[in-house]
Amino acid sequence: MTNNAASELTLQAVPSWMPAFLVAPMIGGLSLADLIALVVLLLFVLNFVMIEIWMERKVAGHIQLRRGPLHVGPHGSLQSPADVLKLLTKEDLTPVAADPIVFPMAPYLVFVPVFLTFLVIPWGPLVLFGNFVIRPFDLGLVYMVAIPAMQGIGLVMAGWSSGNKYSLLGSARVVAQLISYELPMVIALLGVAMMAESLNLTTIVESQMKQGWNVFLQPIGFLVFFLATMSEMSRAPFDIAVAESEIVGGPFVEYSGMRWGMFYLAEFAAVCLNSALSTALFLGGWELFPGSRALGLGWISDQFGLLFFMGKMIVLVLIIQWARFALPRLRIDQLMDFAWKFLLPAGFVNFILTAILQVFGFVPFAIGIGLTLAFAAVLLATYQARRSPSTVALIRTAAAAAVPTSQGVGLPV
Amino acid sequence: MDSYSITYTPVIAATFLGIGFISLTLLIANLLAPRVRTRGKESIYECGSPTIGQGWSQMNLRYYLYAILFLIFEIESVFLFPWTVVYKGLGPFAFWEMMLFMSMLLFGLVYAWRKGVLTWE
Repeated sequence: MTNNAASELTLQAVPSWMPAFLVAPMIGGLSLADLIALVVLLLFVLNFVMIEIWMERKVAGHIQLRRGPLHVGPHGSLQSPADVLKLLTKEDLTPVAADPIVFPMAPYLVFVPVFLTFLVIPWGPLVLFGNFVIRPFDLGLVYMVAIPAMQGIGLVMAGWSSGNKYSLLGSARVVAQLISYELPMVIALLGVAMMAESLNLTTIVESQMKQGWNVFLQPIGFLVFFLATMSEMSRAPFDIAVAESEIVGGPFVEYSGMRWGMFYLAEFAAVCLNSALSTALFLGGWELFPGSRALGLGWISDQFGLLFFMGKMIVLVLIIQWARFALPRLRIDQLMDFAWKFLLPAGFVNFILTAILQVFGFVPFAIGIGLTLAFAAVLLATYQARRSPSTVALIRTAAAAAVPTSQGVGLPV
Repeated sequence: MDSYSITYTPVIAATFLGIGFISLTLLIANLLAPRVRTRGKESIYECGSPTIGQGWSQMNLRYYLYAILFLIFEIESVFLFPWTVVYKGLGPFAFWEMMLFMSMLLFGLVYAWRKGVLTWE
């Protein structure tokens, strides 16, 4: 949407119909078009979050054999705007024990970093509008790791300043979780940077169009990145830090009304952000399907890429929501073990395999993949053998007992 | 102003935009919402019973050793990012060199694992 003299990207063209005063740089290289783009981005994030909340409640409903929101608007689709109105008219409480300065500051530090990270996402091209990206920073990959990490400080501020034991516990857990899952995420990103030989997100997408999508070349990396980001934003099943059933909501127990709504907004915006990042880094960004350029269908992606990007993003959002309602929550020790003893070694394996692919070619890479799979199979077999057989037998017996009796087939009430 | 800082000016603009958006929303909420103060409402939430002691109580930060390990590996990844960009042009020598560096770090991870640092109890 905007121009950048430092960039050599081919798609980075200013639409010709745009009047000159819009693209003329003002203070510090910012043009009016830049400011409009930023406002549009903010509005997009807010609206996407509302749609996302409605989607999540529908998904939850259908997984639990309910129908979800129904009454406000067609299929309950106006439920989220109604909720926003309700939140706006709720009383905003500040407990007497809370720190008067840090307590109101925390929501800013939780939402703003998430919004800032949206600046680097290459949304892809759309007819007449050119390529949607606010700024393709050359250090985009480092930027997208560094900026969301500030969110942790905001959550600690919220948890500490509330003067509540639950929120203090929650913030301690948030820190432990953030530092543990930051590592596998960064290690998985190294593989991506190695494939594209660049840290610029737009270049990474374009290199995937030439070499094939990263999700096929480094599936381990994609898995590690996706799970680690899911944990970074404290989504179920990694939501022990904000677990309602034991520490009643974690760091933001004491927040109410719209101030609490800001934390909720930040959480759902982070889901949108991380789906977008996964799409750009691993799922080929705005390309229609892998290898479409070789078949001469590249022009479709060049014209309507934005739509394909959004489509992939929404699929990832649905997967994240599905995981929330289908999987039980991990205990805190299981959570830490999963990061340090599974994701981190897996990330290193992915890193080494990608390094082999880049220098020694495809055959050693394929041998490496085979060895990894064999090793994983051995590990899985030993793990299964070590599990107590009585537990499995117990589950089988219970499942057999749940089979319908004379009252006929039906779901357990 | 040099081109480097010009590239990053949208970040500053977006920061102000985000802060402005939250302030505006909270202001609107402040104008619309009722305000009735009672002692019960302003007390700390602790499942209905009065709080025992202070909210800022002593607690055991169990992730202390994890945090030290995190620092080591995070600094390593900062070293690795520039290396990944130029890696393909450097050839096999860079690969073996990096494997040496990584194996030392991985040895550290295995050592910590064996010593029971990675056990949360």
